[in-house]
Amino acid sequence: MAAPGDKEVLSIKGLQVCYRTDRGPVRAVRGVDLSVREGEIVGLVGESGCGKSATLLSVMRLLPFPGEIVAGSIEVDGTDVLALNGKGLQALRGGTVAMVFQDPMSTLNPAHQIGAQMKEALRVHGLPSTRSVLVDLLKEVGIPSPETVLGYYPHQLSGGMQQRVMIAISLSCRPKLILADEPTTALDVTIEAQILDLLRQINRDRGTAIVLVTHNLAVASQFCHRIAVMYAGQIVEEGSVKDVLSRPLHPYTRGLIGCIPRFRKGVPLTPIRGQVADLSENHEGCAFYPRCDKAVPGCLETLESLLDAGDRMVRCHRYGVPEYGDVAAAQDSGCS
Amino acid sequence: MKERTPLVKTIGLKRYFYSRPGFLARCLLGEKERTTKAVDGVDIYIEEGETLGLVGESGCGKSTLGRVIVGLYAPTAGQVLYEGKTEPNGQMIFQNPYASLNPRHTVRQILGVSLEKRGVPLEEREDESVKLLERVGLTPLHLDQYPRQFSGGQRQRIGVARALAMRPRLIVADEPVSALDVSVQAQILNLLEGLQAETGVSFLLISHDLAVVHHASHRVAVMYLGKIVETAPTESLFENPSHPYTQALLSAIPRLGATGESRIRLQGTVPSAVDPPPGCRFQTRCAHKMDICAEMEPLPVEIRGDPGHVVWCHLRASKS
Repeated sequence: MAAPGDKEVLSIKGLQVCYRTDRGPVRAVRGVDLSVREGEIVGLVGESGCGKSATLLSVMRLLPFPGEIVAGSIEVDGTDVLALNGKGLQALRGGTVAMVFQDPMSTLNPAHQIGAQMKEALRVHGLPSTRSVLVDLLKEVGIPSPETVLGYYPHQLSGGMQQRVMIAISLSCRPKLILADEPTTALDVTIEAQILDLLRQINRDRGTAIVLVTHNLAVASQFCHRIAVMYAGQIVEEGSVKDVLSRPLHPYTRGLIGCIPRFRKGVPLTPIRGQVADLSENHEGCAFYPRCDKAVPGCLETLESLLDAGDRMVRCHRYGVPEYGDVAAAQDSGCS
Repeated sequence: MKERTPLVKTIGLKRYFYSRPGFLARCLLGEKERTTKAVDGVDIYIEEGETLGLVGESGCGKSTLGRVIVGLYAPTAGQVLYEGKTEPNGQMIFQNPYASLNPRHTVRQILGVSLEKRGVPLEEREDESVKLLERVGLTPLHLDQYPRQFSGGQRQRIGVARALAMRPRLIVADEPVSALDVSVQAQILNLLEGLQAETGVSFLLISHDLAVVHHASHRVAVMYLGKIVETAPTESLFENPSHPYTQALLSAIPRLGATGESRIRLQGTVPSAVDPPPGCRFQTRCAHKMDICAEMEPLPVEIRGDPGHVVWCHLRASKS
């Protein structure tokens, strides 16, 4: 993987997203700070409803109704995304920032040939869209006989090939940042491995920064430089992949790791009790409190920001207090 | 195979799907009938109290095989024997617990249908339903609620309770946790494990998630394009995968803390089950392909010194 540079490509500060539904507001993102540097791969992991996709969609200003960014700032390559409109947004979407979605079959238009769909992206951004440009793009993402594939409709391609086409389209305007929302979740493991290889190669060769949203910790551990674990609309732990996964500090990160079967016989799974937090409710203090086995009443006080744990940031009231020692002792629950 | 009768045994099981184009398409466009060979000659067995993991990529026929085994599809050829008899005694747990529960029925009604089918008299059904709910970690308060009022994990618990209502000897669990969040997955896997310890029920666990299969199965069968290519006790399959496809599949799994560098990269994609390649089905993607692979279907070979580890591969046949 390319060594990340110093320049910030994406900077999110204090992002808050709210869905104003008929049954009251749902606070999907509750204060997220995230920074991605040039050439870096950052994983955003967590369970469904933790706000990871809403964070990504905010960067593209693609939040579906009734979602709304209510606070915070987002900068991409020095441009204030929240101040953009019309032309500026068009230049951002697919230009500076490209997005790869989970299900390629529903993001490609079933009624248009692959070539036509690829041309569209180039034309919108005023770039040449000759046949040779398209063929080169398809070649770069490893599609065999690209000349033929240009005339195919999406249904004539397998899921893995469709996702390659999506990646080719996302690359077409040479983005600085690729946002990948569960790009391999709909694919089989052998195909998943191929697609991750491809993204890694793009990161290495072009220095494109990637934000990968995934629920799969194992995928994140193999693919990312840094990860941010999200729970109930907040980042609860953020640091280098190795630090976070081998020595998790937040009880939720530890819990997640304990839930994953680890190819070791006889190691029981230790589920996190209860259900994922309901974001239509107001959470005072730590949202993980009702499921946490390290919780103390003090956890219900508001924690303004993440705590600096040296090699990473962690959002846990009990970090740094003396009894936290017993938490640290349980750290062998991490992966080796 | 030894003399003992396993709980479930399939003999030369096949299930084909026929698609017949309309009259005009046939006459004007000359389209032909197509036969999808979803399951094409499978012999497996499941012992009492055992979990057999069935893995393979999408479209390999693993779900169809599961459905034929519980009797949801009739076999095109071959047989499924439950302790030597053709009477099926299996229940199914589905992937999507919302789509598989009637949204207009309360939990009481959902369980009632199965209990009625089993012949439990009306006055005992309430008691029986409460027992089932408690067994899967729900409470009697849930009896009069509708599926939409439950979370995904709770719905899957209802699915498990419904399967248990028939007192089956075998439960076919088709991707039972893949629609659930990671923290809830572990709850359901532990529930299934507990049920097996308590009642001795057997499971056929169908999953594309090899970590789940490794955790929960006693034995594993690997399926590719309608056929079993390798079967072995779990430990020996994961430590000593012997079919080139199994090797590639296992090496592709993302693991926590691994780098993914040592992966075997498979070329191309799975061929269509309408027109599978002759001989060994994996020959089109195999790095070790020999001439014989295109000519003859491989016969099962037991790995020496590893009882129960059987592989369908010419490479192994030539070695032993």
